[in-house]
This record gives sequence, C-alpha cells and structure tokens, in this order.
Amino acid sequence: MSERWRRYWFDMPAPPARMTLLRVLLFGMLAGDLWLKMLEHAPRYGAGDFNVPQIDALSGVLPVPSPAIVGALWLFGGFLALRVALGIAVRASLIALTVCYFGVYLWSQADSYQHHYLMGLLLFLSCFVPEDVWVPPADRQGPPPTSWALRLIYVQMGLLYFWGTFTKLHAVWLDGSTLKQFLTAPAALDMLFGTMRVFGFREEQGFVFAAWATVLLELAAAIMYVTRRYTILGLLMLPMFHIGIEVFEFDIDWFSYYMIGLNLILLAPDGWMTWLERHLVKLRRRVDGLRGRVPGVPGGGAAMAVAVVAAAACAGLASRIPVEGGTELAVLVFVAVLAAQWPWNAAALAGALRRGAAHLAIAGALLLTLFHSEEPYDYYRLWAGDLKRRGDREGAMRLYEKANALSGEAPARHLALAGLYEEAGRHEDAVAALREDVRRYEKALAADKVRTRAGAAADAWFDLADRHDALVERCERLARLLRRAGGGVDEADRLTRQALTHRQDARAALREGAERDPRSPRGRKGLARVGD
Amino acid sequence: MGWKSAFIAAYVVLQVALPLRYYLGDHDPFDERFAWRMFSPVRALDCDVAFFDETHESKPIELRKQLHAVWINLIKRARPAVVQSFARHWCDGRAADGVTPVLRADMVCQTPESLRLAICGGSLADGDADGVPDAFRGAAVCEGRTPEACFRDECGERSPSDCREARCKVRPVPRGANLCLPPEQWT
Repeated sequence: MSERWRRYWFDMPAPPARMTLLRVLLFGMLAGDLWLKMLEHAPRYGAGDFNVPQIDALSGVLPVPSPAIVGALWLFGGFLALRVALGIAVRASLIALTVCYFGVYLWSQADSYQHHYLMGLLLFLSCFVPEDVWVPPADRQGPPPTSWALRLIYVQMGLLYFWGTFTKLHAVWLDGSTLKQFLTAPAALDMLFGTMRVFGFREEQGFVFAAWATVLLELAAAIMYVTRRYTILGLLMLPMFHIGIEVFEFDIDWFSYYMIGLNLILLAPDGWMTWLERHLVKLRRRVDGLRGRVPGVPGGGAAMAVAVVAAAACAGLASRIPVEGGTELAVLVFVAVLAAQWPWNAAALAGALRRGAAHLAIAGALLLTLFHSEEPYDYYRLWAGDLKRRGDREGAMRLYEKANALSGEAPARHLALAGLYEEAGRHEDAVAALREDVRRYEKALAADKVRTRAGAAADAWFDLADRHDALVERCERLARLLRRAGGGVDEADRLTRQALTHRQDARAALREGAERDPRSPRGRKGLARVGD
Repeated sequence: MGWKSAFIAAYVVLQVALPLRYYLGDHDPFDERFAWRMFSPVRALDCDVAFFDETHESKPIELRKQLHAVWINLIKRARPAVVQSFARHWCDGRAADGVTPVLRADMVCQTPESLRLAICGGSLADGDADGVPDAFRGAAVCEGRTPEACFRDECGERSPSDCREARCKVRPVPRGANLCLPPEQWT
C-alpha cells in the first residue's frame, strides 16, 4: 500500500468537537425529520398492495411493506437517532438506525427524494466510525483520533457534488432552460431579476448566470471535500447556496437543511474545532463534577433491575403513540433499551440510572412530539384520502374519524367524512360531522378576524376570505342535507342566511386585501371568482 | 488495514460506477436513481400517460383508483421499474379473473431538449402561412436569428408537426405493445 494512500485514508483527523457537532446536530435533525416529516409518508407504503423495491433482487423476497411497520421503523429510527445524539450506545444504535432507515429506503421507491439515499449512505459509513471517536473519553490527551470512515464521508460528499456538476453539463441546463422550468415562485423570480438589474443584466440572463454559478460552485465543492483544501470558501458559499435553494422554494423536503448542517460542520477548519474542543472539555468537566456527587454504587443486580424497568417504561410510552404500529414500536424500543442498559460488564448504578433517565427522556420526547405536532393528523388524513380515491369507503371513514379525533379544535376533514357518510346512507352521522365542521370553522374565523383587525397585510385578508368561502360551502351543504332529511327547516334557513352573510363578508375581505396589495394574484383571482 | 483498504476501494468504485452507468450503455434515461442527478433536465419533464384495458374492448384505466398518488407520479416520470411493476400487478389481477389480459399504454414524454426548442413551446398555428409557426416570432431561444432561420435550425426540411413529434416527444413504452407480456417483448 502506498504511503500516500495510507496517509489520505488512515490519517484523517476526526477532531472530537467536529464529531460531537456531527453527532448532536445531524442525528438530532434526523430524529426530527423521521418524527415530524417522514411519518406522514408511511401510509403510502404498501397502499393497494403495490410496491416496487429500489433493487430488483428484492422483488418477491421482501413482503409488501405496511404503514404500521414502516411507521414503527421510522419512529424507532428517530428514537435511535436521538440516542446517538445523546451519546448512548452510539455504534449499536447507528447499525440499527441504518437498518431501519436505509432498509425502508431500499424496500420501496415510494420515497424518491435523493437525500434519503444520501442519508442512508452516510448512516452506513457512520457505522464504521469507532465508538470512542464519536464519544471521546473525558481524559483524552494528545492529537485527535483518526477515522478512515470519516474520510469516506468527505469523499461521498465530494462525489455527490461532482455528479451534481456532471448532470448539469448539458446545454439545457447551461442555457438556463432547466432552471427556468424549476424556478416558478414569484418572490424568487423577483429576487433573481432584481439582482440581475442591479448588475446591469437583462432578466432572462439571470437564469444563465444562476445555472453557470451552480455548476462552478458544485465543482468547487467537490474539490474542497475530496482535498479538504480551501474549505473556508466552501464554508462561506455552500450554506448560502443551499439557503438559496430554500429561498427559491424548491420542494426538496429537508435536503437543504441537512446540507447546510453538513457543510458547516464538515468544512469548518480543524483549528476552529480545536478551539471549540477546549471549551467543550471545560463544560464536560463541570458536568462530570456534578456526576461525581452521585454515589457510584457498583451495579450488578440493581443495574439489571434498572435495565428492565427502563426498557419496560420506554416500551410502555412507545406503545401509546397515536398512529398504527404501537406494538411493533414498543417491542423494538424494549429490546433496544434493554440491550443498551444491560450491565454486560460490571456497571455502576449511577451510570445505569443516568442512561435509564436519558432513555425515558427520549421516549417521552417521542410521545410529546407526536401529541403536539400535526403529524399524526396528517398521517391519517393522507391515508384516508388515498383510500377514498381508491374506493375503499369504509377504510376511508375509519381513518378520517381518527384524523378528526387528533385535530383538537382546528378545522379538519369533517366535510370529506360527511360526504362518505352520505354515500353510505348515514345521514345523521353526516349532519353531525358537518355541524362539527361549521362549529370549528366559525371558531377559526373568529381568530382570523382578530388577526385582521390591527392593520394586517393583504394575505391575512385573503386568508379571511378563504375562511368565509369555506363556511359558505359548509353552511349550504348542511342546509341541503337537513332539508333532504325532512327536518330541521329552521336550522336550514338559518344556515342559508349565514351562507349569504359569509359570501358578502368574503367579498369584503377580498377587496380589503386587494387594496393593500393590488398586484397579488390571490386578490385578482378571488375577485374574479366572486364576479367583482 | 487490508480489509479496510479493500472496503474503501470497493465503496469508491461503486459510487463512481453507479452514476456512470447512467451515462454509459443503454441505461434508461428516465431512471435517475443512484446517479445524483439533482435538478436534472430529465427531472423537469413530465409525461402524458394513459393506460387501456384491451382485454375485450378498449377501456381507459383510471390510475388514481388503482394506485397511490406517489406511484402515479413516478409513472408520469416514466420510471421504468414502476411502469413494469404496475403492468405486472394489473395483469396478474386481471388474469386471476380467468381472462387473458391485454394492457396497452399511451405514454408520451418531453425530451430534455424540448425545453430549449421553440418548436416544442406554444401552438403550431401559422397565421401568415409562411411555413413557420407563429410561436417562433419573439421566442427567446431564437434571439439573434430570424424566425425562418431558427425554424430551419431546429427542424430542417420537416413539417412543423413532424418536427415536433421527432424533437419534442419520446415514447418510453411502445404504443401498441401488450404490457402483460414480459418487458423484453414490448415492441
């Protein structure tokens, strides 16, 4: 083996501060992604008993995935990611996380964003970084540890940017045509054209400029990652590039955020990391000082008891998730916590208690996140919508009911549910669903009115108009339903009058909005719709 | 260090070979997986797709009643594995009813070049009957050339409709093929 090969791959420094940042930020973000963004995609897996794996060889080998299994794997993946972020059983967690995340990716083409592939590869490579590089011992002395796997992560990033450049060496990209196709957000176009005018170029030349700038920047990034030279330039330019992608409203989920984080952490000079490490060590010593006050009773039987109690408690919390797959998740969490807590070697009770508390905190965070986010609602809403489209009325009703039950007091999917009840001949349920819908919309309308009182911007008025429009539809629909059922004539008449008032109020709100922003397409389209 | 060097070499070779595969040989241009083709010209394209159940008579198939929206989107991007899997899935389902199923598709996609050709944008109306579609007048891609020269550059001696068919459209699935046969026989 040549000396240069050895030096390039095996002398790659892995400064503890960089590894800590990578561990905490990247895996913290991944947990958020899995719990707050990806979970709602689980119902698409196995929908209609149809699946296409990423690799042909897996066809017929693996069963068709199910929302419960995929959801459980992703929630468990988030649990493991947070465990990595907190520095608990890092390598074992990484291996299990890679199986969950990359396994689901390879299982199905249902999520086609390329950043899932990138994350899968980075997770795979992360498994080869030793535990004591991820979590350096407190008394570590001397030069930073080395890691060939970290070098591979850099090379992987370089290859990503290189192939990104290669893709764009095409006349259709270089003349700006492709960018013109992608770039449609009015605010983004205004920004690009405005910048071009400042520099004395024509607006159309903005696409060509942006196309070439992207190619050159991605090529520079590839070189920086592979050589680790001039990284300070990349540290300045690449996050700006990915922020630009977000500003231009390209719909690529959290890819930009991952890239911003990775670029900031991986391209920061080693010197900055040495400086940061000095401060992190001080912080760690203080924490260790606090820990020293907790008696370090040798473990054994007590540590085993703590392991079982912590695993059972975490599994109990996991089983209460408000989506499908609670049992599967509880089993996975139980095994993972027990394996990480079990005193395989002699363990101090204090350490076992600390780990147990951390595990409980992660399981608690999972539950809190799910109960306080809209993710479970979206999970059931999207799933129900798919079943409705594909003609599974009973299934759609069951899932819409679950979605509505998770939506608190906010407007939800009662209208869609009422439609399905009507089709099924369940008139009383349809009326009840629509009454609930009108009640929630009225409540939301009151909040919207408060927002528009204090000189609100045009969009707030357009939102108010949309809310009135929604109420017009619901009041009229409920009135029709009541009349058809032969009862509730007074209520139906009241609803008809209410619909009329909402229609007038919608028009007034549109005028207010249009006065504040005459150029807004929302105002123009809205007023055209109501014939103003 | 031996196995580590071998692993590193294998990983790097794989990460070079997988994307390179897209550009070499007869790899399907609509399958961009594993090639890091972010914001590629192909990604910007869309296909018009219609499937027909021609087992007895020709009946259009409503994809939205068969598949989740995510698969329909991938079919509209002509992802070959998804088109083939859907065909197999549908044909197996029909065959279970005891018939010999026939599935055909009309799938027309834009070519990447269509984004920069005047012949591919707008209508082919020719108000002044000079043989050059009116859309060539004032087209940004024709800047610096007369409409006639621009049309000639793009289409040569072809008629506008033939030119549009040849330069703007591609059919990833042959129009008359019975998709219930193995993909090698889709001709």
